[in-house]
Amino acid sequence: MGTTLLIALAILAYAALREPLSDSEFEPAATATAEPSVA
Amino acid sequence: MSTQHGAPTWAATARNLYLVAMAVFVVNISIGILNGADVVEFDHNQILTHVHAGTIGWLTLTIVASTFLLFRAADVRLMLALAILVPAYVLAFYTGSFVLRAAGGVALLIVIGWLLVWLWREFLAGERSMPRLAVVLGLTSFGYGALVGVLIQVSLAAGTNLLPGDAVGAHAAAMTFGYLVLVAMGLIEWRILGTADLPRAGLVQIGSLFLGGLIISVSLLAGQAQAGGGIYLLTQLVSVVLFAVRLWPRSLRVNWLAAEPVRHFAASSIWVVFALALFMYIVFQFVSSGATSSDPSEAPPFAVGILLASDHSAYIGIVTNIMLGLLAMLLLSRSSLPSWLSHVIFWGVNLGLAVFVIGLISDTAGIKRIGLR
Repeated sequence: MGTTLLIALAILAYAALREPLSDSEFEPAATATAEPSVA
Repeated sequence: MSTQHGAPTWAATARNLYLVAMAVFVVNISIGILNGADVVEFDHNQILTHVHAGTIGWLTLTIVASTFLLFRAADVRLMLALAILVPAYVLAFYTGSFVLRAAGGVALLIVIGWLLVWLWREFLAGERSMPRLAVVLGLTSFGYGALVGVLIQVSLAAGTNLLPGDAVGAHAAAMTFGYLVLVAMGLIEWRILGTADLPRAGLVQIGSLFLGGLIISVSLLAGQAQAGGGIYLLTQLVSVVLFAVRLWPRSLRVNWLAAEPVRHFAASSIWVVFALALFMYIVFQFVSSGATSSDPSEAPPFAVGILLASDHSAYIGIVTNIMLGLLAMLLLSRSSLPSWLSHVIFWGVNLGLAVFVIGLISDTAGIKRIGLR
């Protein structure tokens, strides 16, 4: 677990510094739930 | 508002805060591996450094960065203040200086107040969805948990006791399930269900967790741990049952073998139920025994192992899984990195944690070491 986390951090840090950000992945949800809502 | 590469400011600000969190997490993991493998005998200050590098450094900084993604808004000055003060506070624990801890804690508490004001304003001015409400309530629990934590440090520095009852228990109880798991429920809801409104069952689910955290913290401070523990058990039970009923039908059906970030959120939904069940078992044992203090040093050895298993299920299984999923979405979706790396990270973390937790519960050093590596 610890070694895997360190590998993950190294990959993510590399990507954070070198790769373009994918902000479009965080577009607002298009649909709401079918559950009863108070809103 | 955009940065130089076309990414909006909130995304770039989140990325920068994630980077600071990752740096502090390396400190947490390094101490954790060496301590768990019994390679180095760490003193109390170094163990507190491990705890706070993990809980404030990694978990809270990534939660704030994720809040920027959820709200699609960020305050750069707030990010910078946290990026400076949180590592400084973690360092203060390493030094063992009560004065530095108190000073760092008070400065950080002011910034946490700023964070809460910013967050509530954003929530009230924008979309009032269940994921956002869960994150706002969770960080509100973090606010009062931090207040108790900082008052503990100020008491130590001043050589007096500013808080009644079991302050350490109140601080820890607020932080783990009233804060971390509540925020996690919101982020899982966001990525698995995409909830954009306030479903009634969801409100009861997060309201129970929030009130439960508040009740157990206040009751520990008031010396009413037995009564508070009973009510707390009921609120956690309501919350976890509603969570499983609402989330599992969707989350358990993800393609576990596909290298997609969504499986991190799905795995987190399993760890939520597991961690809460373990913690409820501990509280049940505590209430049944008639104990009056939540001090782990007075607990039987099996309870310490289960408490550590519950905590690490929350820290790694619930929150870190979510952060790995969000980071993969933000940073790796457009990258050319091979997909097998995603499998190594997902299975390495989750299977490793499962083995570590089995080692903690069974109190078997060999199994713990295998999982920790």
